[in-house]
Amino acid sequence: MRAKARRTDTASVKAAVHAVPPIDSTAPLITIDKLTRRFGPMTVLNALSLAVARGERVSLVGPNGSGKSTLLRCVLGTVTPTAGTVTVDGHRAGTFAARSSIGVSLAQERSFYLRLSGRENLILFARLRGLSRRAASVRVAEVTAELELSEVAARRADRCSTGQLQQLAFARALLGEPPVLLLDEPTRSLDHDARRRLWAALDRRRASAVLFASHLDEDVAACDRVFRLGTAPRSPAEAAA
Amino acid sequence: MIRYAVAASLARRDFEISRSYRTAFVLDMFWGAIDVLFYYYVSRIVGVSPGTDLGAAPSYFAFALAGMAISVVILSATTTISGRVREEQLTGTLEFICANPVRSSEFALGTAAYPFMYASVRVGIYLVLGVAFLGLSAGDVNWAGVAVIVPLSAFAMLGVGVLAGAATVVFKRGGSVVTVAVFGMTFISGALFPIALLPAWLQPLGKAMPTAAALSGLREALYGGGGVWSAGVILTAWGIVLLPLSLCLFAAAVAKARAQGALAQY
Repeated sequence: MRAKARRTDTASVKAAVHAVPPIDSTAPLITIDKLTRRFGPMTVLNALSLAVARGERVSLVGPNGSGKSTLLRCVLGTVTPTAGTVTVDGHRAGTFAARSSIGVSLAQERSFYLRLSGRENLILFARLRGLSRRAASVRVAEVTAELELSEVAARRADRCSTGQLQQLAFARALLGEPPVLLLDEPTRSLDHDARRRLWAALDRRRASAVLFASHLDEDVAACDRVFRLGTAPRSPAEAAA
Repeated sequence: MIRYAVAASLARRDFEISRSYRTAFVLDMFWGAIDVLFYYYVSRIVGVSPGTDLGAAPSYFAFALAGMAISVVILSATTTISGRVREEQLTGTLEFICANPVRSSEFALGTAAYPFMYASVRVGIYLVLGVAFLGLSAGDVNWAGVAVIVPLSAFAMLGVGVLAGAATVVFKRGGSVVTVAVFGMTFISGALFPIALLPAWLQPLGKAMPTAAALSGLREALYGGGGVWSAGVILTAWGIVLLPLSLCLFAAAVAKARAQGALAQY
């Protein structure tokens, strides 16, 4: 009975994803123009420009500290650029409209209410996106069924492993079927099956623009394009030397 | 435009988290009852000097009970918000709330909602205890007045709480400063003793506080008197001035934290 319900949920998600209109790969959903971000004397990002079209997956590659997470946060809007501009679906990053267009999974498990179950967390974040309680419950059931997370979602977040929290974070990114996905090392702690499910879920969302930071070759290979960030950030003195 | 469903979902989150700490939940209620009993027995052994003006309150216990009730409401609308924001910083959820399509006003009001509802329940328990076991007369109580003054007290002070939340977003620590400030406000505005006992130079300040209107309003509603509605007007005016101002400052604080890249810091 439960298995049948799961098949039905998964089928409804697939139907919804198949209903996505044909991809218009010409319109950039993410536009980054001469983005610079400094933290005190350290320049983490220096005049970066990048455009990500609808349906395009761009892999962010670079050593630790090269600014991958900062770049994602500038697109997300939780860090504002020191100079340059970032737009998401035509809206300045950080605005209400831009935030509505983004699903995000950052490289940390510190983003859940640990006393709540995974499901309660997901329902809360679905409701923050404006879904009614009923619609949020249905959406969470669909996403957790799609990612085979129903059992994990029933657990309290503080009883989940790092990898399980990471899968919940990915599920949260998919909740609103956003056109833009920002994924910061989403496969880092995942086992083989979980990685397969993650990529299968992304394959079902070919219309999304995806910025994907990763150190894994197989993740990079699965993206359409690679965007390399430089070496670790430098202070003005180091840069001059 | 505030989406109240979003604020309600944040309140539900706080309720679920609070409920998950079952022992603390029960102990908190128990501690409130102990507080009431403490002032009850103090009032039985310590007499009130002749000529002391307790306003509409018939006894010191009655006077202090209203003070305790209003203090609980005011604390819920003020220090709890900064505490909650601080918790969000430490758990890493603040950045995720700000990354979602949630307005600062929805976040601030949603964060304040559950503590206020919880405080209202505590006020109800205080009053039931007072009436059922400790000799307060329920006959003269203007229950409509109580139902108006309690939420208006929270409304008047909510702006202070949102300001405290804004300060926490930017400066991170600072909750203790807010606690001291709010305690000072309730102290000098006559929560547990009449303002007339304060030094003369401090009395005008005590009377000017929104907490003074909240306290006198609740006492008049509980023990009879004609000042309930005028207190209600004063509290409404405070809320109308403070709340929009504080919500603007809260939004500015979040914008500043974005500019500093500090939303994910603790």
